[in-house]
Amino acid sequence: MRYTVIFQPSGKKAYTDGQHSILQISQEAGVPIESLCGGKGICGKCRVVVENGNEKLPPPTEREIKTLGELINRGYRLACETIPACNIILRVPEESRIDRQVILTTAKCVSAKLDPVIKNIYIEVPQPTLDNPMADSERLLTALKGDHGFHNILIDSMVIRKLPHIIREYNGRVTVTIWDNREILDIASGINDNLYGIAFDIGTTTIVAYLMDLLKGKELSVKAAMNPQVAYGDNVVSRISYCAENPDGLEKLRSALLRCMNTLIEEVCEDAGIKPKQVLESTVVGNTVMHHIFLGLDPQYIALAPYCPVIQSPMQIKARDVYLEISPSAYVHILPVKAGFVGGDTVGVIIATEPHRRDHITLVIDLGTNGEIVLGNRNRLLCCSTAAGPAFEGGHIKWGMRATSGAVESVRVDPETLNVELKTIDNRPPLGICGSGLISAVSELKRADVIMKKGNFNPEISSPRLREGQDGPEFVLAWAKETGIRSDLVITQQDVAELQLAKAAIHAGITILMRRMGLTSIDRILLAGAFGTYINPEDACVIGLIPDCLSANIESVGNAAGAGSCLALLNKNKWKEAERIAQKMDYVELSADPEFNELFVEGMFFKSRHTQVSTPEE
Amino acid sequence: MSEMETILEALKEAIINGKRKDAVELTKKALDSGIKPADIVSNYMIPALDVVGKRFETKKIFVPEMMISARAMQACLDLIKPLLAKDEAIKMGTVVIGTVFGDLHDIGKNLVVMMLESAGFDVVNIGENVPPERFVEEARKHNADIVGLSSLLTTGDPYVKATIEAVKNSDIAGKVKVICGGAAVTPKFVYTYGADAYAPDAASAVTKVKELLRIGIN
Repeated sequence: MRYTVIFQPSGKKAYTDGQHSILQISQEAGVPIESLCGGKGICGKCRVVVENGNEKLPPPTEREIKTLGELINRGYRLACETIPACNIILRVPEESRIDRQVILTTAKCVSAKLDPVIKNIYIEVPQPTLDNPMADSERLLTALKGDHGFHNILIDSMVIRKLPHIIREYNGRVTVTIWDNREILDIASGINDNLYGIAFDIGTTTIVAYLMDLLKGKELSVKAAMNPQVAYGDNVVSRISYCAENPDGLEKLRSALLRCMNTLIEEVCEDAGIKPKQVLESTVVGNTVMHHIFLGLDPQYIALAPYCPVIQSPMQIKARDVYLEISPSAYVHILPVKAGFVGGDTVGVIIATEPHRRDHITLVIDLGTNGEIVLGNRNRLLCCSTAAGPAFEGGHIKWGMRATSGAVESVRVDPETLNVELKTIDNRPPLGICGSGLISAVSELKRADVIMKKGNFNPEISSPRLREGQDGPEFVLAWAKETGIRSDLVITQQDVAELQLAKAAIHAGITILMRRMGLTSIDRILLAGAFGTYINPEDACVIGLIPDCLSANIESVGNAAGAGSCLALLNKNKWKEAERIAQKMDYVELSADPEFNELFVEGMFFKSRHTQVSTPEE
Repeated sequence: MSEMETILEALKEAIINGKRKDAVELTKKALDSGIKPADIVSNYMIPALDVVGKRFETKKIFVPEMMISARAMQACLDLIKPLLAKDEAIKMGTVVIGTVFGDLHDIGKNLVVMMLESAGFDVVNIGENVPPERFVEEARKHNADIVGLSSLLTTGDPYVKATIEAVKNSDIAGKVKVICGGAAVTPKFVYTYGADAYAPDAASAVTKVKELLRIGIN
């Protein structure tokens, strides 16, 4: 039996055999629906409204009743729990849709010498004669050896195919593109003064592509997209689970990723007026799980202690072997990873921010679902990864959402009247609250004494905004009439608790690294990640995310991982540097540290400033 | 209220409110004035934790506050434990607890340890990344009543299953009950594999263990 499922508002039609959940059907149909937990019926983010056919659906499951409450009477269901065996029409409400994200694409690059791994070389290849009928390829190599001293050069097979025509077009005058003084990747007749490369940053949530002119050292176009794997789970562990639980899981995630990367390639090339086939080099950074999925490597052992990756070293792979649709002869350079949960993105952050080249101590925090922390200077670098949870990205938060249009990104609370002023992305009526908005709100509520030291709402405050909600105490940020969600936008006690757990994990990570280094102060603090760009450093201090903040110079550096990827594209020595960093840097496994628990509990308090590290007691 | 009672009530309050320094000072005071360590534990400290557990269950407080209280309690217990005479020790039951193979997470499990110890159970924490057979060995060795297992990663599901099976197929099967918890564990999943109980959080872990051992049930 075949049933029709129609998704509104797009009107997209899909068919089902009655065996699959709405979430699975939507993924097959390419209708993006939020799913933080990867379809386990836990997060409640995949809610859909049944507009037609509700009476024929199986009754709501226990988990749906628990998560949706009275919304069930209004036709709401969880997409992951509902298995339709009937024709239905659904509406995907705004809060359940996956939108394109607002991402900071201009990364603050440190300057680097332009020295890419590919070079154009102009040569004049002698014409063949009856006396010396040497083959095209051998004549080309002989000329390269004679004019430029290149020995033992290989020619990519795709280049050999077009060689006979191009070599004859202008009497043997050609430009070859040579990779690493070792291999010819392309050949063009006459003088060719184009040389392009694309740097990628593959994040769990966001993918960014940078098209660079490798002759001029110029950024030509930058485009970003939501990682389509989000539909299969919001964090790396749920993606790993998806690979482990579904026989074709890895392939599904890999091909979704590649479709997205290839679309980005088309977009940046179109933007710059070039063809994707003209792109002859690419670099990729990504956290270890994204790295593995991109390469088609099974990531499941990363999730199991001792969290071992399949490969740590950098790799050079032909674009055609990883299905990246640039020139098939091009190499894709994959930056090394450090450990199961410290990936090439962190290595990229380091080559972009260069803590290893300075005498003074730098702390770099790359905030996301996993918070990677790097601490040190030219003598020593330590790194760790903390499972901060999705709170920083709006996950596990009652009205949490990603940093897309309509998300609350900053909050002001008047300490006297408790009146609230909200700033949302694109200045739309608020739909939810993103990570920086949550930090800002909690920071303001702390300043207004609405939130106490332990994170609890102050019971002595009497205001209509502070009330008992369905899930415990909550604070109203915006009344229903002011929002775009027909419901009061609140921060619950549980939301504050989620943020406390997240910031406590970062706090514990930073403190352990500082203790391992024997440090009590830090000279420079860098906040990286799209999150780090939007977060107000002062709010981060107020909630105690950053230790000893006032003494240090805090900077938001934007997408430093992407900047690292660009640097590796522009200068081949950065590869070597990245490899050395990955080898030399010491990785600290926090879950094995005996102090972690104590520091974690300690990090949950909201303290006054200056006291984050020096006084560990309450 | 006598001065002593005031101190003990203040101790109870300090634990409920997670004031570790105060709780430790008050415990010292109480011990100095000759109150039996076992009385402090059973009449004030355990009831304090019960209050915390209730508040957690009724969503008056959340994980951070519960952990803060448990930490205060733990600090007091560290003072008292060496003073408890063997026969004074409160015999509630023995729980062997660990995180399943392949998983190094310990925070949630350690919180359960703290809550169970605070509630008077003997708890043997066998750590993280524990293979199924070791759960059985340790349970046998410590004559356990309960085996508790924690799993935070959905990729650990096969090991939750294997651990439950290892216990249920062993010689101690009839004697030992199995309880599971952790972010990756759901009740349905656990009951399918034959565990005796599931606890969604540390407070209910204590309630469930008590239920399994029929403590406080008439």
